[in-house]
Amino acid sequence: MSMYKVAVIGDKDSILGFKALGAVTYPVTSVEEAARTLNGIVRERYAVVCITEAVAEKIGPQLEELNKKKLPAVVLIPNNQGTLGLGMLQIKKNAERAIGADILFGKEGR
Amino acid sequence: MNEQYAHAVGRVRAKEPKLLDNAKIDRMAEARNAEEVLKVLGETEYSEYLASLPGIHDFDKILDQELHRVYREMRQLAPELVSIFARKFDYHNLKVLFKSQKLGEKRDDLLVRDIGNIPVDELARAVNEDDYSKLPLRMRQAGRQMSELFRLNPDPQMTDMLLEQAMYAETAESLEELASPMLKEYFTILIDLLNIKTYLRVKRANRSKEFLEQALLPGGELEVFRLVQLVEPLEVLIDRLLYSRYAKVVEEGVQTYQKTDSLTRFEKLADNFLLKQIKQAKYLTVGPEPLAGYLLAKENELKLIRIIMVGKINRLPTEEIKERLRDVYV
Repeated sequence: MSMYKVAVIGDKDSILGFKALGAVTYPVTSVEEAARTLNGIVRERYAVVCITEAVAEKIGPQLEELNKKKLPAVVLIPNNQGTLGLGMLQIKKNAERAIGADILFGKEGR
Repeated sequence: MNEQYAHAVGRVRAKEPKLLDNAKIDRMAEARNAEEVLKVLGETEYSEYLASLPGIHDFDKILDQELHRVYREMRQLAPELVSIFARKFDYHNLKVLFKSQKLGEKRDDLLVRDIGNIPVDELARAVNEDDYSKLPLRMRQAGRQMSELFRLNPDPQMTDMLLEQAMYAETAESLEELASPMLKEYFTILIDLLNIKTYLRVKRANRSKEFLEQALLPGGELEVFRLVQLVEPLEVLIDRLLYSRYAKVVEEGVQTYQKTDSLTRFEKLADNFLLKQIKQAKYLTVGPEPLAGYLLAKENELKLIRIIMVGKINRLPTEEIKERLRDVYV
């Protein structure tokens, strides 16, 4: 049995550090490159894909598709410029979808 | 002895005016974005590489081409001298080859080709066949030792330390042959400054005294590392170094490190200290020093362009970029 892997997609300077943790890093500089990289990753044995919010913002529809699958889990992370709030939004959405209420941020049944 | 460099020094003097001066570096640092930095570079001797550049993210290629050009030209002028400075590429390649072989991963992208003293293929053969006998003495010894130690304890850090030690020992031997007090002094300072940094990092990592001794490089003049215990507060080391020539670097650099946990400031001050040392070569008209000066000035220049480009690509404020910039040679 081979172990599942963790992938990180984003701009090079934001994601390089993840290499030290054993993740596989995919630096991208354009939307096309990001889309192509994600396509390739889906076909391999990845359990988690971390994507910087700045990149995720540009390939939204593709990520929506991926969110319907069990694996890999998509996790949005801030890049070195700070957060866009998308990661938190995603967590909120997932919580709502799982239990029908936003228990994390306390705005029930809105 | 020095006459052999007379022609070379003349050639270097003709190249020096093309080095980027403070005004150019400032304009680059103040540019609005990475594209504009490249525009400024277009007015310099880097312009020839710009036409074939796919985009700002490939700026590494420009720096790489220039590094290769400088080493190629300088090697023709003074092969023995350049081999001292090119040695770091050989040791770097050996590290990459050894580690990638042990990991079972191909990392040829990390190799530096056509610029070191030893062809990459030769180093690759030594690693693959585990036969270091054809390499230069120090490298051969270190190669055998790291190969043996790795079998007992696969620790890549040990590989790094052994090779660094060997590289500086080999450099010291070459410097004896070259008989240039100024360059010898340069390497003494370089080693001392590296050792101060090593001390700080070993202390931070809570490693043993034995580990520190393996990590310290030979050839410096500072003895404090043997006198100050790792368990003593950092102030003890700082106090001792305040009586050395590194007082200013230590006072500002190490104290900033204590406050911010970052070695950035120390590294910049150390680089400037070294550059000041090598700047004396500008006033010499014979000998190997002006050539070494030009080589180091170029390496410094490439570092500056890299700091600016990485800063601009990551939208760092101009002030923050400027804070990281080193002095220039010219």
